[in-house]
Amino acid sequence: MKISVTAIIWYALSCSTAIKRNASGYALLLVLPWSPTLAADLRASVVDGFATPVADAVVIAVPENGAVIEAKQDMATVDQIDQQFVPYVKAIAVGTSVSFPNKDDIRHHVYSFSKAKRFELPLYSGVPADPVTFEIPGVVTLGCNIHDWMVGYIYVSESPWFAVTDAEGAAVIKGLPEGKYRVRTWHPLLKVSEESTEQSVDIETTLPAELHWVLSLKPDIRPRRAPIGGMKVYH
Amino acid sequence: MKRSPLAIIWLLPSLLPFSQPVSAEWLLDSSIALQINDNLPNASLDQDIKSDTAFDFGFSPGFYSQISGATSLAVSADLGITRQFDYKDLDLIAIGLTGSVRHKFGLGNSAPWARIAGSASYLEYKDGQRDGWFYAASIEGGKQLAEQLSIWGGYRFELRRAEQIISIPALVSNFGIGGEAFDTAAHNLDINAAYQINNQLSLVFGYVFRAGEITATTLRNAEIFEASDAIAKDLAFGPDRFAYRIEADTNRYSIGLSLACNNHMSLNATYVYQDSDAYEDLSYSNNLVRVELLYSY
Repeated sequence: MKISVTAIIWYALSCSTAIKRNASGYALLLVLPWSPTLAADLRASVVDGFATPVADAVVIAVPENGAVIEAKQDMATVDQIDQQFVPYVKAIAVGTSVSFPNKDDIRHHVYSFSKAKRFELPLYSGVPADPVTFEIPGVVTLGCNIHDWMVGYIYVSESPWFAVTDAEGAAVIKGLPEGKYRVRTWHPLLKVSEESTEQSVDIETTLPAELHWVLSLKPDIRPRRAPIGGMKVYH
Repeated sequence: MKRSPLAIIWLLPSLLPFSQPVSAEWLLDSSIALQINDNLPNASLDQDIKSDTAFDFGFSPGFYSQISGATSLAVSADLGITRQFDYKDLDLIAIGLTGSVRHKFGLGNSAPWARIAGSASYLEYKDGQRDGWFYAASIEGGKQLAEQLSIWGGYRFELRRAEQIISIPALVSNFGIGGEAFDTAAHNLDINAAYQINNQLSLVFGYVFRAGEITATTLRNAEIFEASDAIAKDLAFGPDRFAYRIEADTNRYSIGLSLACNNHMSLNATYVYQDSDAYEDLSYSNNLVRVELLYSY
C-alpha cells in the first residue's frame, strides 16, 4: 500500500488521531476515518460448488504490507428476534463492542465458548447494561442456553476492510485505499481453511475491483426448532 | 358422583399468577394424527384380534417459565380427542394437566438435561365402563451427543383407575376375580435417539420396556380367565367379549421420520411394533402406524 510517512503525519495532525497499540497487542493501529484521495470499491461474489449464491460469507481485505488502519467503529448490534440471532453472521473490526438487544418478549441467555471470546449474558430481557468488546480476531459462535436452536456468528476481523455477502452472494468493500491486498473469505460452513481462500488484488485506480470465490461448503444443518413426534420442544 | 373432567382446565389460570413474576411464556402444542392399530383389543388369539384406524386430535395450551438460567417450569392443560373409524365405543375425550421441571447441567446445546414430569388426565370413553383417571410420573434425561444426534430416555410410572367397577357376580363368587380390568399400573424404561439428516428431516428411534398390567379382550376362554386377575364384560368389541387384566412384559420398538415444515410445524410418520409376553405363554403383538401433523409454539 502506497501510504507515505508524510501522509500519516498529515492525518495524525489534521484529524487529531492517535497512534495506539490495540489491547490485544495485535497490531499497531491508526484510529481515524480513512479517506484517501485514491480509493476504490472491491466487489466480491461468492457461490458454492453448485453455482448457488452464498449468503453470510465474510470477505476480508488485508493490506499486503501488513499495515492495518482501524476505522473508528460505532457500537455494533446483534439482535435476538423471533428466537434467532439477527444477523446470522455479523462482521466487526477488532476492538468493536457489540450490544445484544433482546427484542423478543421472552428472556434469552446468550453465551459463547469460542477462543476468540468467551462470555455469558445470563438470563435477560431488553438491552443488557454492558456491551461485549471483542479484542481478539477470529470467529465467535453465539448460542442461547434457553433456546438451543439459536446459533449465530460474529467474525472479528483484524482489518477494517470487510463485508458480508447478501442473499445474492454479493458483497462490496467500499473505499479500499490504493495498494495491494490479500483478500480471503470465511463462511460458517466452509470446508477448507479460511487462509486457503486467499486471493490478491491491486487497487490502482478508482475503478471497482472484482473478486470471485467458489466455496466448498459443508451441509447446512442447523439445530432443529420444529417439534418431533414424541418429543417436547420446551420441556 | 361423576366429576366434570372440564373442571381440570380451571386449574390452569389459577396457577398463572405464580408464574408471572419469573416471566412466563405461553405455549401451545397441538397435533392432528391418523393412527392404524392392527390389534386394538390387545388380543392374544387370532379370533379376538381386531384392527381399526383412529383420528386423533391433541391440543395443549400452557405456559413455560425460565426460573433460572438452568431450570424451567412448564404447565399445560391437555385436551385429546380420539375418534375410531369402526369401534365407536372407544371414542375418547381426554382432558388433563401436565407439569414438568427441566434442569440443564451446564451451558450450551450439548449440556445434559434432566426433567421430572407428572400428569393427570380424565378419560371419558363412549363406553362408560372405561372412563377413569390416568396418572403418569416420569424422570428422564438427555444429551446432544453430536451436532446431529441427540439421545434421551428415562423411567415412567403409569397408573390408570376406572371410575366404576362392574364385576361379573359369578366370577367374583366362584373364583374371587373382580371386575377391575381397566385398573392398571406399569413401570416403563425408555431410550430414544433422534438423528437430524438435514434441516428438514430427522430420523427418530425409540425403545420402551414396560413391566406391568395390560388390559386385553377375548371371547370366553377358561385358560385366559385363569391367568387373569380381573375380568369385566367388554361391550366395545361385542356382547360376547370380556376384558381381562394380566401382568405382562412389553417391548416396544419405534422408528419415525419427522419432516420440519417450518420452525413450528412438522409432519411425522412413525411405525411401532410392540409385543407383550404374559403368564401361561400368552403373548400379544401390535403394529401401529401413525401419521401426525404437529404444531408447537
